[in-house]
Amino acid sequence: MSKTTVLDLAQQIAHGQADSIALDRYYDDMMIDFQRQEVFTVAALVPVIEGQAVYTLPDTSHDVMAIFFDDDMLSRLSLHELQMLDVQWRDRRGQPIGYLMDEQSDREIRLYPIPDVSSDPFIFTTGTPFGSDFPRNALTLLSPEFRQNLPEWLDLVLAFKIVGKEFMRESAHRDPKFAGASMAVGDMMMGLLL
Amino acid sequence: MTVYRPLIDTVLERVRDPQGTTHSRLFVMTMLVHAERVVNAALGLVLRTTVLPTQAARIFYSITAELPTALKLLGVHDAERNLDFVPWKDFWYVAKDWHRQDSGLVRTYSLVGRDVLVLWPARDRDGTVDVVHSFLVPVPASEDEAVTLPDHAMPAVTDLAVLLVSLKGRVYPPLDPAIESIQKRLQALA
Repeated sequence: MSKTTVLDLAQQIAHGQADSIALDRYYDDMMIDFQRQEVFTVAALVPVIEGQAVYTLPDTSHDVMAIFFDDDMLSRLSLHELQMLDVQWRDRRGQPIGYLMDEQSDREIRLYPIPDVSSDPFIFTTGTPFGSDFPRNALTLLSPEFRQNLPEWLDLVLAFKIVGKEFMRESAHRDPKFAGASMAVGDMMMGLLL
Repeated sequence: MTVYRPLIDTVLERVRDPQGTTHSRLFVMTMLVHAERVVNAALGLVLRTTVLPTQAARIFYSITAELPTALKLLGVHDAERNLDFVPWKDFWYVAKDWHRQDSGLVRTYSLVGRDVLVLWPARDRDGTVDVVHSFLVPVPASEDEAVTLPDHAMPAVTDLAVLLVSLKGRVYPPLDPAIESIQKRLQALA
């Protein structure tokens, strides 16, 4: 599926009355909504560097559902919990047992304790990063994935939902009844599809 | 064997546009295909089994990449065994290192979101599992192609397509009863 297909379908449903720039924007908003709903997810590997506490999430991820260091699943910790657990937490080194989401950026995580080893090189000789080629001491992230294009079976759902948003906003072609019906039908289909 | 042509005629008649002057036949066919997909996702009327090659020690598989025709995953079989579904967050209670555990047998499966399939524990050698999923209805090349869903699902499919086409025509059937009626039809088919 492509964004173009959804926007075309939305214009057909709207009889060409919708503002194409607004539709484009609503499409992008919908992609963010899908990410928040944790519908589309991805597993990713991140290399670990000895002595480095802070790691940036891959571009397509803005949150994490789980993090593993080497073999172990890490616990998500709050700042308060870390302070209770270890007053020296900022400087502690060892094998990570938990992580903290950065308060100022949802794209960064801080490992506790700071890793005292680096991960093996990311060389995937058999082409299975999550299988036999898994690099020791790497971070594995499970996260909602931000996608620009969703599978084609969601085309119509997206088209109705963005038409709903477009006809709800203040404009010369505003039609709350049509907007409400489009949103309701879009929601119903999404509920059945997912 | 039902083909799309008479279904398109039926939908156009029901939206009082038998000649297709307001709604093109192609648009109606598109709505019918999407309606079929929705009904099949809800009820799993047409299923497919896809053989998924598994790799030693690998636990995560991308559904979009490796099972592109899977609309909704309904089960996983390993040889003669049906694997149990377990919410992935429960694995932690069994083993903190669950994502790297392997064994001779895959015992359970899970889904992270909709797109990451977890086979746990990972197999200790390469192999395959059979994944059962509702089939993604393909877009037909012409109106004379056969529909994918069985005939008894057609009333639900056409009801939904009529609702979608009516909405485009801004002819609103009372929406809540219309949605309720479709849901009742789906319940009757389930």
